[in-house]
Amino acid sequence: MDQAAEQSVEPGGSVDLPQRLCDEIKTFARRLPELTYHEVLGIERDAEADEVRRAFFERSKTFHPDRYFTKQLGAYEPLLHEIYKRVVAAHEVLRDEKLRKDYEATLRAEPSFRIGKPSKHLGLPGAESPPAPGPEQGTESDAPTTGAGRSLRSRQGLRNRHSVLVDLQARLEVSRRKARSHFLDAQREIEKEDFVRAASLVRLALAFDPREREYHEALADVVPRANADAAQAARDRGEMLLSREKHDEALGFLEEAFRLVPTDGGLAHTISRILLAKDEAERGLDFARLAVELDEKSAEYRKGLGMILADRGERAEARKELQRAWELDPMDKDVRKALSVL
Amino acid sequence: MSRVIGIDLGTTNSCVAIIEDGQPVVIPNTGGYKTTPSIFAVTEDGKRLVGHLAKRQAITNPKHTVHAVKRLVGRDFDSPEIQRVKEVVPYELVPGPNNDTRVQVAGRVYTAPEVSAIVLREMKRVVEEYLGETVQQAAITCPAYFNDAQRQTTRDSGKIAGLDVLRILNEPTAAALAYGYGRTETERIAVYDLGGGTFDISILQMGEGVIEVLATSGDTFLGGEDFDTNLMNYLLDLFEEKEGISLRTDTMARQRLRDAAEKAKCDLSQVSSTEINLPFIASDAEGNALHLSTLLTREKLEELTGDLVSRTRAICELALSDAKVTVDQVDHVILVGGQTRMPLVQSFVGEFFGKAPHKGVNPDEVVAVGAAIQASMLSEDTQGPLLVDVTPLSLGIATYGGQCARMIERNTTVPCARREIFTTTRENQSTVKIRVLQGESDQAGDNDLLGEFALTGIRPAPVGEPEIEVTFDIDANGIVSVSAKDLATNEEQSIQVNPRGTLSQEELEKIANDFGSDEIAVKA
Repeated sequence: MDQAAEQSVEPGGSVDLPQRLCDEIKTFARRLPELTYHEVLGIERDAEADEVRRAFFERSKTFHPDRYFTKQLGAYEPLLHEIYKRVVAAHEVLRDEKLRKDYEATLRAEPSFRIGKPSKHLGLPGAESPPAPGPEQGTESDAPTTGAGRSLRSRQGLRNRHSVLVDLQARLEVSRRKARSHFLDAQREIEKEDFVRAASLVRLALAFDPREREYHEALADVVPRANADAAQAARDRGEMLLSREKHDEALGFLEEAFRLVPTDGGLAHTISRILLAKDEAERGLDFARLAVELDEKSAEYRKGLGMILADRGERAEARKELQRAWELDPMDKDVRKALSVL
Repeated sequence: MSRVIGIDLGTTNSCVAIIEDGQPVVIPNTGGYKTTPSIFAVTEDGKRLVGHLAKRQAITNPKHTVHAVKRLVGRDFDSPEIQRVKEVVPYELVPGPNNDTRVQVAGRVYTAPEVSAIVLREMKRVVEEYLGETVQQAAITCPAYFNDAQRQTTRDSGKIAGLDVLRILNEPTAAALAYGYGRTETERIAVYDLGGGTFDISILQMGEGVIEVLATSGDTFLGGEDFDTNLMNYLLDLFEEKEGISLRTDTMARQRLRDAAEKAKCDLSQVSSTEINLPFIASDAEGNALHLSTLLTREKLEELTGDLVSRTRAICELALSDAKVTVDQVDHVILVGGQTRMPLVQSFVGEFFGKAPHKGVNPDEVVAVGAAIQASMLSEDTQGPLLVDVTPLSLGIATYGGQCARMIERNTTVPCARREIFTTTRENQSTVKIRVLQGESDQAGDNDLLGEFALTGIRPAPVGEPEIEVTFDIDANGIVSVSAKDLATNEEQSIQVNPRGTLSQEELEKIANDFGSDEIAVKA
């Protein structure tokens, strides 16, 4: 039995660690998914701040990867990293009075609940109960327990025992609180008429609590306004980057702007030019066509499209476009030259 | 196994140490000095000089003497910082192909990591001469507030110099390691590190064989060189007022003024007034020699540089608040860096922390000693102090509308992992682009882009419905991995964010290869 386990974690050959430590790492890693943060540090529920620190230091001395910098760790390396990351997460929560209180409250709420054991809770999204009351300022950024979402699908992560896992129930609560806090932030942004920020905050709220109707309604209201603002902002930024010759970055912004408000031939033309310079001929051609469709009277866009077609050897179509370009602007020598070559 | 060394690669001076029989030893160079100026020069007849030799001839050869190259490391040529540096250094700066900053000396362009490598090679040589054997493995320090590109560039320098870099270590952390070496007390300390070019403050918890960094903060453009510059500008104004002649464009005169300013600044740490005498600094229209001679008091120096000292206050406050520690909870304050010799700095630190700074460490050597301790901890089976460090800058991803969603806050203990759920911004969006950012701004564009990748094949769905789980992971070496997973399909994409220095891989290899032949030139 033991030997089988041995082989399953040691496919990588020689390992440069004492057997006792190997066993400790293996056992710890296996139990990791079901341990509370207190258990990860090996302390009692009511341990004082000093004890938390001391326990963290003790665990660090055993499991910090730097302790084994020159050693061959084989398959123990990822295990060691996972253990230590969990130790760090436990310490970050338990050292902070507020995070610790929140975390311990979730443990009390469902004392028998543990990750990794089958439970019907896993099958339910759990949206029946109302969202947690107020926004919890601070938890969003500090809490390592955040954000794994509230969905059934997070079970996928559980199969991988190497992952840093946290109590599902805690995740659910934290997710709802996060959603509410994002939503309140969004409302503040709406008052400030920053619809872009508001929309992304409402989306974030929905990502954490997709069942809340209020959020969906708010989103439908704010998205059209946000799109217009965002398109302008993306375009400004893209053009600024373009003027600094940061073409790759500019392209992302300009495409975003076009996606949001896909009616501007000039923008399509600009995007097409950047794509061509990047050797993305196919997409460059698409945008060139779009530019012409959106603004049929532009000699410049016709010329752009014609030149691309000519380069690709599609002579008939190229001639057609260049001919039209020439009609629109008979002074353009380049077009005339290209036509005569064709 | 060969010996491991610790190198403090400073803006102004560098220092190297080893652990010998459990004791840290700072290795003196051939001239008997324990620190070596981080200066590189090419003389008129093409000879390359490093260290004291280079410094000695700086006045007569300012255009081909490169100092403070650390300020250029990992910075874009068109950044405001570099444009400011350009104003004050006598040597020529030129942009590299990646918009990195390079120096042109005696008709040849050197990359910043190359110049650092020349200094590192010299430090390597100092140890090898002392030990009578070659060394290869080293821990090298950098300012705590260096970003990824600057750290990688420092690593590249080590590689060019023929070193196997075990770790890039933060300077204040190294200082704390040196301070804590052999101590057993459980205490909280602050390291106030005002060096030649950068300022760092770190708050640490130590005891029971572990040194834990609680928080670190800093300014990579605040250091002793700025004190010199302020004083030099004052002298330039003084001369112009008196003689009606500006010396601002006279590189040789400026170099003499800079040297005199630095020397006067150092003197004024000991005495309350000093005389600056620079005969024959210029000549008037009739060709008569002009001299600069003035009495400088400590008071005047403090008036000229007080604002620089005040700039450190807000940074100290930030570090304390990140560490969730009050000033009273700090048991000791350690001063690091030559600029902390200034009485004004010491009195500021005493007043801010409400306690006299600890006097037991040599501010010029302590960082190298700490680097040697860390190098030996990593390479040997010692039960030496374990260092638990933090990531100095926040990491996140770019989100909709050019925002930056922070995933890992600055001052988070490493190694660590974080995951968050994100979602799409368009109907039936099939691809999301994950851009990994480093920095403190909420605007994506203001942060450094570390890398990017795309997650494709997201199942068509309304806006906001797909759940994309993004995981950030930092290992003990500070290497960041990011993955994104569509929870509906379990499709996953990930990258290891290979820290990018300012040199491309090909260029780095080429320089590293050519570098061996350079050494012959040094010794010739």
